[in-house]
Amino acid sequence: MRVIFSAIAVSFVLALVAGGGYMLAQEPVYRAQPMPSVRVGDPGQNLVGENYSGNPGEVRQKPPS
Amino acid sequence: MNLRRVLGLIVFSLAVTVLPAGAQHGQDAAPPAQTGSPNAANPTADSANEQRLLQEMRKLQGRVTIPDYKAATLEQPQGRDYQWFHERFLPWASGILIAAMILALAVFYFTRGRIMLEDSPESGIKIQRFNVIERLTHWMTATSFIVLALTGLNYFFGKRVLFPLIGPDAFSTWSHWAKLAHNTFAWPFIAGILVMIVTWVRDNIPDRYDWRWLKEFGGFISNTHPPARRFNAGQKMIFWSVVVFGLALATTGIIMLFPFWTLDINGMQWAQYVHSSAAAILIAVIIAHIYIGTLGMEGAYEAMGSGEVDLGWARAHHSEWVKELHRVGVPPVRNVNTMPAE
Repeated sequence: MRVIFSAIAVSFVLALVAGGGYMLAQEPVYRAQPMPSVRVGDPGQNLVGENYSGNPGEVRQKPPS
Repeated sequence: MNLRRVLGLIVFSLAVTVLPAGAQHGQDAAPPAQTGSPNAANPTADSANEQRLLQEMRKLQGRVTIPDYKAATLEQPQGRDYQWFHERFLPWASGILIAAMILALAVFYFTRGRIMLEDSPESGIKIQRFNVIERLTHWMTATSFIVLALTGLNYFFGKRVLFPLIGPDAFSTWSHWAKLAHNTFAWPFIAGILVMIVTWVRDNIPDRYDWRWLKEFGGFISNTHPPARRFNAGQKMIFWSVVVFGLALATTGIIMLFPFWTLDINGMQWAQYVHSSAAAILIAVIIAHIYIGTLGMEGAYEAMGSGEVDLGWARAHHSEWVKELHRVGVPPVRNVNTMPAE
């Protein structure tokens, strides 16, 4: 049983490390494909940026790369 | 005279009051445009219908001004095939496949029963069947596979089975975490598959004992034990299923973990076809593997649990492997018969 529990622990550790690295490597869409302006409904998860206030007239600042 | 003036004033007042109203009424009462007439109001008259767009698919060209080049895909007819596969074929086919496997194993269990060691009783001598690395790899891959299967089956059946049971909020939360778990446990699964290939491929190459094993159906029905080396033909089929379908799952899984990196939308759909089909088949195969390794055969679990098996079990199920161990002089791990009583 010790090997089984060790294997379960190893799979969780590998999943957390590799999966966490994978998720950190992913870019939010507003950073991967930035645009000067887009009408959006979900500030923070959109093409404009996380600081977008929802005002369509606002010009987004390009995020630091 | 006064009367004439009064009548004239009344007529003028009526004329001023009624005529504009009549004119307005006349406008309202104008007959509506007939449908189909050349002048009929049709707000979508200038837009092309879908069939026409499909006919012109190779001819229509344009450009998109946003960075997402995928937005340039105007029509993607293959999406209909994918929708049919995802919404109709996949849930039914995979459901039937998995249910049929469980039913077949249940019928086998209740007709044949557990395969016992009656004709090869325990000798008390233990030999090593799998070392620590092999067992660690097996259980790590197994843990990952169970997480991947359960979270992946949510994609097959979630909205049909779970959603009505737990409601939209719980289903949304579960699906979110299921997706995260699927993406993260994919990595130990891939690592486990690769290590298993390197570790076990040599012992899983088909040999002359396999045909006899298959002809006798492993002795499951006749209660015999056809000779086998380290792995019999049944175990080799499990191994090669894991290799083929596991690698297919790993390859298409990585393609989907990095969407549109190498393939377009149609390529992503094909990755999904292969991934979900391989998953359904491998889930059915692994259910059979779990049955044989636990409920179906006495002594099978110990091989992967403790890594040791009784010499009697090994002689019964892997007689040629035991002969090879004797030839190279591999000593038993321990002899229970000669151990001092505690």
